Amino acid sequence: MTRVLIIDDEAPIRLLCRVNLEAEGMEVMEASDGEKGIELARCERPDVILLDVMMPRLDGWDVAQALVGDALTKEIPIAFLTARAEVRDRARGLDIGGVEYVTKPFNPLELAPLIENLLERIRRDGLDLLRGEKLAALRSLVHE
Amino acid sequence: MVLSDITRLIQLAGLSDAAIFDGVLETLALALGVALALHLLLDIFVLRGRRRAGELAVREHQLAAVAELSSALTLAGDRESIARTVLDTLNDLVDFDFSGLLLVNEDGSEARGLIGRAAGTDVDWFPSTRLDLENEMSGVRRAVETRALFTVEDAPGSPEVSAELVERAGLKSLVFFPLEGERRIVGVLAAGSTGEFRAFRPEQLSLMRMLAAEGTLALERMESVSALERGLERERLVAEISRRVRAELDIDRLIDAALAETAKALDVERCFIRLGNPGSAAPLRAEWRREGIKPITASATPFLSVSNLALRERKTAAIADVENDPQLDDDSLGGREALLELGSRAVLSAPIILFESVIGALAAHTSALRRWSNDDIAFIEAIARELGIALHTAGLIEENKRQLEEQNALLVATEAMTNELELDSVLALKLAGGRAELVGPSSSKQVMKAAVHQATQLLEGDAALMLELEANELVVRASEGEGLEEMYARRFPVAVSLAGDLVHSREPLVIEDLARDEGPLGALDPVVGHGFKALIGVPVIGLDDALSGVLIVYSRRVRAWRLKEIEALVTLAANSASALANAALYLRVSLEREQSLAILSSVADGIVAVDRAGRIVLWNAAAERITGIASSEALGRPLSEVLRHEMEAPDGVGERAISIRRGERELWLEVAEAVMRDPGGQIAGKIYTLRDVSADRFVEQAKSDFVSSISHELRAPLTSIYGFAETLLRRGELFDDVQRRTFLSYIASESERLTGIVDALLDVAELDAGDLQVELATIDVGNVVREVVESARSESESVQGDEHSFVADLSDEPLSAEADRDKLRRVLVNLVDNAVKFSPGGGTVSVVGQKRSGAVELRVRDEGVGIPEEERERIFRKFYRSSSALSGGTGLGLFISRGLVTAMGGRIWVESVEGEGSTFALELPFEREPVAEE
Repeated sequence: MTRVLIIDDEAPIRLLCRVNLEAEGMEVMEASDGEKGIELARCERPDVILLDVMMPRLDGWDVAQALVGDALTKEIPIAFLTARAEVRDRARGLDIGGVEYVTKPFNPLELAPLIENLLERIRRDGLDLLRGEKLAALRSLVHE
Repeated sequence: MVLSDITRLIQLAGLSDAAIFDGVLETLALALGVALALHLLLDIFVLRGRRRAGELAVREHQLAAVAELSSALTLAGDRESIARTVLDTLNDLVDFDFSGLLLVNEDGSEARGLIGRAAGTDVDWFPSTRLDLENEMSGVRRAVETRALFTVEDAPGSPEVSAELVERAGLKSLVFFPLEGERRIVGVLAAGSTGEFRAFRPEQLSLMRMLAAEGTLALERMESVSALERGLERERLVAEISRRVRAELDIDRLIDAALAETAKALDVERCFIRLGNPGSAAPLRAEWRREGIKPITASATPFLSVSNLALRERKTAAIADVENDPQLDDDSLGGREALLELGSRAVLSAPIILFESVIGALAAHTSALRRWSNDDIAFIEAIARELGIALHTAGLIEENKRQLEEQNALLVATEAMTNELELDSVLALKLAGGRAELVGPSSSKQVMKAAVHQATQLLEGDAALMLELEANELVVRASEGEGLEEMYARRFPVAVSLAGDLVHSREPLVIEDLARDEGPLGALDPVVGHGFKALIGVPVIGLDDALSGVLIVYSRRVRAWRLKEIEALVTLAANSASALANAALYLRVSLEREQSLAILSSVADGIVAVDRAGRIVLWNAAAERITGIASSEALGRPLSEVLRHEMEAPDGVGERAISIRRGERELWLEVAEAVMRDPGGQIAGKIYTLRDVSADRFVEQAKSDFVSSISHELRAPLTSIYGFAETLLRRGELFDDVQRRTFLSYIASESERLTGIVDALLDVAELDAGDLQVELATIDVGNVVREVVESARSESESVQGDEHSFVADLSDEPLSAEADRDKLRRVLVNLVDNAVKFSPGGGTVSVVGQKRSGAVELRVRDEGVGIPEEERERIFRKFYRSSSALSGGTGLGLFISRGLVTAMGGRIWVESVEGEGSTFALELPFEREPVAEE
């Protein structure tokens, strides 16, 4: 069973993700701020992390950096889930080490397929290759 | 040199005896010719430093030594080392005990010891040796005058050599040899022996000659190299001043800079400029002094005799010794006391000449005796010339009347006219005396007044009129003499008056007796009338050959005008025409100048002009204001250096925005440029306009930040609304009623949040437009507080892990105030939301309500992060988001709150201790001011 950790300070968003992912048979853990999120990630080692950016105290960028820099959690793919839609934010997220960038508002029904697809590709190509591809795609976007 | 040698040989041989001379003349001439040619050849070779093996008397090793010397001299760095090398070689090869080199100054009046050598070391007293070549007899003098070597076998017994030199060096026999340079004798070699009286052998002298030639070459090269270097440096300076003369609008600044530079180049303590005619007081215009040097006083200025001399003689006066120079003997120049009192011992002064007239003098003073070199003189003359041009240019824009007179005077080529006309000396004198008065005034009205006055004086007439031609009429512009005062401004048709005839004929009109020549009608002529019996009228014709009017002189008695008088009046009219043209030109130019300057200094845009070399020549007031860089700092430097930004337009784009630093902040400038061309179509420079667009940029940035943050704010509630709607639409019965209700309640509350944001935006729009409406009523503020606190508490409780507690601290009695309930609620919700948002660690949020005199005060207190001092006012600004903001926000809440409270007649402020919390306080009027309606 796919285990997903959602880190977001807004309760409705966490609930939204939980009900829709559970409906697809995934196991969902929640953290309402960055510190709790990092703690949970280290203890639970989820398969994937959905990470909000704008949070009090530790923001999403800090959390992602901590996770990528930690041997325990660096292999866990991170998908940013955020209202920050500018290309430069996207670039920053992927630069830090995220592999997916979902802008709010999003269709919660597409969340589970997105996660499955992500995990499938990581199984096939490895996390690093995926990150590389995402960055390359982004660069071509920026340069257009 | 050769000729004098041969002549002396002839004399020595007794061949000057006329009889013998006659007899052998032809033979001798032939022999002389050959000798001369040989000698010349020899000299040429020696002077070029090349030797022929056939030089008879010189042994081979000596030749080798000379060759060695030649190459050593090429490497010598200064005159002293040249002298040492030559002298040591000399002592060595010719077996002298002592030798010394003396340098002869430019005008041949003095010789000074440079280096003396004996036994391979310097002779210490030798450099202080001074020989007066004009008044004292010496071997050196003789060598200089005869341009030939001079030997003395018995030096102590000879009256022809300097006793001092012989005594100090202890010499018995001596040889003097002139160093003959290209233009003059540059020095003398003196060498001798101390042991015994001796005669010098021809080959020794020949050797000495060669050494002298080598030394001369080296010295001359040294002199020309240093002169060249000095000349170049001064050339550059003159060019720099010349550039400024053509670029600098401020004449005073220019003069100051020129004086300072001149003083530096000449290495003098004082440099100044006087302006005025020769013979006038010529006051000091500006002075540069080295520190500690006392200034020239106004009372001393007329006694500055050297500049007076330069002014009077129209040529540079170079005084090496103020105390003794006979040129200053003439007491009318002002004597020596003033200069000596100022501590000036040597003075150099060049007249400033413009259009053949002396308008002032430039002078340099130094406290030491100094013989001014040709370079010094050429330099000061070049600077004086440039200053003349600068003053001329400045004369057009300066209100310096006296200077203007000079300038006008120069434009009128009266000197030439006076000479050509050969007037009676009295007439000429009168004309010349009046000229200054005529050309001095700057307005045409003054010129015409002066013209009629002078015309009357010149011809000893009784009255004069100046009439100006306007279309077909002559208008009286100036009058002189009894009875004509009221004629001013009267107009006469050209067609029907005697004066009109002048306009047609353009020739002088001479009437000796009106009654006789013109009959009764003549006396009736309105211009003539007034009981005059004779007149001379002349046309006033300018340089462009256009007739501008007529000048008429009247006499009350019948008078036979002399031809000279007619010519004098014609000259005066010509002078007047020039002066009039000049006045008009001056008026136009000064108007244009003033207009340009006024425009340049009043425009809001910075205007900068650079010359062909890219250096700034204009930096207007706006450029100073915008960039904060003073024009004095910018002028003369490249624009890119001043702004610290590359100014070359990329891809030739004319208009662009650049950012520069002004102190701590960034400045955005919109730059446009245009090429300036001179009248010949050549590129003369560029003009840039600079516009400060920083404020626009800031607004742009704020707008873009706003759009970005608003879009973020809108996305948050939309995510929930959209997300839960999609969730509810999932196929299959996945959720129970409780879950559905939760989803729907989220959709509802988030929709409300969305509405709130939109409301806030509308509020801002209304606040900006100034039409925010409040509906004031007397309400119980306490109720609103309770509602807001209650709602905040319940929301907080619904959030898992929220550790805030809420307190409403209100007195029991109702808190009545004039307010708009809905707007007040919005303000309080915002303040309480902020209190929660900025106390992430939880704590108590309290709202305290109290009555104050005439007002109700509400205080919303939190125990959060607090607000830094410098932000406490800024947080009320539109779009401003605190640096301690932990998550998003529109940056509008407090801006709106302040707007709403102000609209309700109240005020809002903040008190805070960083790290301990903040209190937002607001005060609402207790009741409305009673309106007087009786």
